[in-house]
Amino acid sequence: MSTADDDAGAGPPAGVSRLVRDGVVASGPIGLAVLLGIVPIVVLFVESLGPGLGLGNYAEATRPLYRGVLSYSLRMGIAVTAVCLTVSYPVTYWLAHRCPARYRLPTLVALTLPLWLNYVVLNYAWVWVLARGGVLNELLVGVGAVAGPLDLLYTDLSVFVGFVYIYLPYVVLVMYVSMERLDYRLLEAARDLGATNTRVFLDVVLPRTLPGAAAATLIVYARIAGAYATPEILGGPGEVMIASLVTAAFREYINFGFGAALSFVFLSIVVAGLLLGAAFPRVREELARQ
Amino acid sequence: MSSVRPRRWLRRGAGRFPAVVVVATLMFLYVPVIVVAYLSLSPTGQPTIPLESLSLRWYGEVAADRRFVRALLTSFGIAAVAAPGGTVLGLAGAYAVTRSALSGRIKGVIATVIALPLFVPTVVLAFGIGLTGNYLDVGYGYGPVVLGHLFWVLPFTTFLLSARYAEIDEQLSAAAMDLGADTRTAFLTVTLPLLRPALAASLLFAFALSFNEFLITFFLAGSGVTTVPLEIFGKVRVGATAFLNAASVLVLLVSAAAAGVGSALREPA
Amino acid sequence: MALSTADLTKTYGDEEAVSGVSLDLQQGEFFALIGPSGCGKTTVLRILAGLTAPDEGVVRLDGEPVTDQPPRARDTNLVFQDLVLFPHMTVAENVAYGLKRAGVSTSDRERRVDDALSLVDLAGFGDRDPEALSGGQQQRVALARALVNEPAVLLLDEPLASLDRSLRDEMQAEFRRIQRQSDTTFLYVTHDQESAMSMADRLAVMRDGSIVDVGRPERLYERPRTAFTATFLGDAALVDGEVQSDGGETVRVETPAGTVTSPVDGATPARGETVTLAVRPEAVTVGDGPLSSEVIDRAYKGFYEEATIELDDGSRLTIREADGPATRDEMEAVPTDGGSSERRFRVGETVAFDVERAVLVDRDDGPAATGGADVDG
Repeated sequence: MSTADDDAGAGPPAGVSRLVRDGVVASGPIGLAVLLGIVPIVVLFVESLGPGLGLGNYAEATRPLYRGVLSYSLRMGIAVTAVCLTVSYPVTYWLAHRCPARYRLPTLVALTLPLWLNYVVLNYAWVWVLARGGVLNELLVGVGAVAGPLDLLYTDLSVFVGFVYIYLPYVVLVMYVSMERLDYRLLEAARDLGATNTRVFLDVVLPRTLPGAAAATLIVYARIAGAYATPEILGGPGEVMIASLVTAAFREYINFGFGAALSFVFLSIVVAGLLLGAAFPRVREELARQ
Repeated sequence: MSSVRPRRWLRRGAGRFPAVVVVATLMFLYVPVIVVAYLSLSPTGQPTIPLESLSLRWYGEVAADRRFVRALLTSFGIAAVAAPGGTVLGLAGAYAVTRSALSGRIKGVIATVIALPLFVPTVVLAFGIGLTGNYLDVGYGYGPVVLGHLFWVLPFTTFLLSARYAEIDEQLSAAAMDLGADTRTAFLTVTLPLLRPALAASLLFAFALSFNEFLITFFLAGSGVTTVPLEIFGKVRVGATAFLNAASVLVLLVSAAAAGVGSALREPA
Repeated sequence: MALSTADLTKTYGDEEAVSGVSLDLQQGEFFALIGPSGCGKTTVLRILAGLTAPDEGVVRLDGEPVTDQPPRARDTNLVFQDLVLFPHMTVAENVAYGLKRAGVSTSDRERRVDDALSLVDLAGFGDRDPEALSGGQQQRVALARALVNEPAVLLLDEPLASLDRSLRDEMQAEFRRIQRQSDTTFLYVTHDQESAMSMADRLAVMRDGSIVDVGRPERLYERPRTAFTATFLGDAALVDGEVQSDGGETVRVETPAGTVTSPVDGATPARGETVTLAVRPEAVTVGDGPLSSEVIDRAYKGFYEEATIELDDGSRLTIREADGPATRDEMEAVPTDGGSSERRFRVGETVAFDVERAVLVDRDDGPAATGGADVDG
């Protein structure tokens, strides 16, 4: 169809009445999204400046103690995302280009089903795996790999594993979409021209899928950095993550201004990352696809 | 010749590497769930591997637990509103961002606003919504929670339906109108029937999303409303028990069933 | 007049897709609107169907202006280029759709659907899924779905474009039969001049949003008014020459392909004026004639062979000669040992030829553009 035919379906009675009708239809979802999406962010911003329109809350929220929390949260997010991406590359490559067609859909469903399961429950399952008397320690002691049970649960490690567990299916899904669009003939062309597996990966696979990986990273690291349940379930008394501070500010201390400032600092970092990504047209395209 | 053989072996090894990672990933994803499911069959309160015998005792305990059953009913009730409501709103959103007469720029803005929960960290949104509720003095409870869930499922339903909307040949509506249908009839007799599988999938996915939603509910529920994720979260912090294992398995089964049927409906379309 | 339009104009952005199109269709005729991709013919069709609103101009159906009426209120029906059968309905439900909208009673509807399916040779296919049918059968369903409503004019948007050649030939004959049998006015839009000429009673040739020529296929082929029509409808070489005669019914033109006489067809070329002639390959006799030129290319075309020769001024002429047995004598002379027959033309050889007929054409718009993006869909 040509651009000249883009008005397909629009009859002569189009015009203003159709525009009004479509505006009315759109107002439902827009109203909800504005009321619960835009308005709360504005409220949050106003709150972060109060009382008395100062930057006091921001001064408090950026004290070294809280900067450390923010930095730990972001580093955790980036590290978990990196592991998820590393695993997702071979997995989605196999799924999109190597897997026999009849196993493709079942495998994809199996890999992404956890997305639709309850993450509180999924993280809870790891308690039974990582505890001192858990499956993993029993196994390690049983085969004699370690002398006695290790303290795996309620550590940075257990939080890390818990995050990978929750977000790996998401990264797999996003990378699969990217990998599926990668034209396999490009790989064959590179092999035909003498490229080794490594070179094929570096010269063809990576450049073609990097925008997808970047888009996945921009979304996933922020979700991890702002997650609440996983560190609460699997974390120890040591490191605190940002969502716990915000939640505490809301539920326990009732220190709204501080929580709002903290949220806003965090939100600014996330938005800056997204804007940076959106500056690259191909990453923007991938972000729009999410 | 002898130098070729190990290289060929290596190449084959490299070729198999991705498949090995897939198997390892599937094990990583499912072993913990299987462990919990296995331990939920323990006859005693503090299960150890291997179990001496298998029993459904804890499922009985869960079914008899008034708190848990009430939480389950609460979650079902909220999802029963959020899933159809979110699907209807998603249909409107999908129409707005694909077929409507609105300009491309406005469609882009609408899509971005609807997609907000996917980009903005949930804890920030949840806090903001809680704060706004506080200011508007709407308090906590079912109303705010349902509204929060509608907001949470809206991007999923909108984008699932708009993907299907985009697949439907726009000419089909033109053909219907050429054959005498007005806009409304064309929608009811052509577009809607073609969207039906996607609408059913949207309903099920929205149900699963609402049933599992934790953080927004955590901020808006107050003390009066306890959903299943809140109930389990509260118990998890006290300690891992056989009771919790059985409850977890039930929760996983409910959401897996909704999502499984949902993907079966969506894929062949 | 079943359908008439006056000065239809439609602009998209800066681009005038349709400019000043006026058409008149007689009741019961098979009318083809042809032109290369992107000439605006599909837009004209959509304006007639009411799916696109013109910026200017009037559409009349049986004399009544319908320009501002929505598609559902118009007595036209459209067979879409890619058919767009409703995938969730059976064949019968597809065909019944328009009747249902018009409020035709169930019993009438069933009878008319059956009649329409018989007309297109699909009796008994009513319960099938359209997707389970072959390409040709789907064409027939699309035709029945539109025809059953007994439109004043049936609009067809290149419905055969996606079929392979043999099926297309078969469907063309079917379209012709169904058109006669149903006594419906057909407006058929296509870029395929061959199918248009074989089906249509009259043709309109469209280029760059305007209609450049209208007439019966024979007239347009034998006496095209413009160089564009001449080259778009079949093969024609364009040759420039100088007028050697004054007045009269015919004009004598001195060209690099010899002195050629052409009917003037209302034009008044003056002695000494430079004019353009269109020369069809079949109007050139080969092997015997006062002129000779070098063959620069040749192509085997099946039952004939084609050669391109270059004239003195550098312009080119296509010539043809029947290949294989032309007469009974020759047929008997063909060796039966399976050896391929001799080539008629060789590149580099010089052949004698004579131009027997040529047509004076208006050169302003140049030859038909070929290739390019298929903008019309």
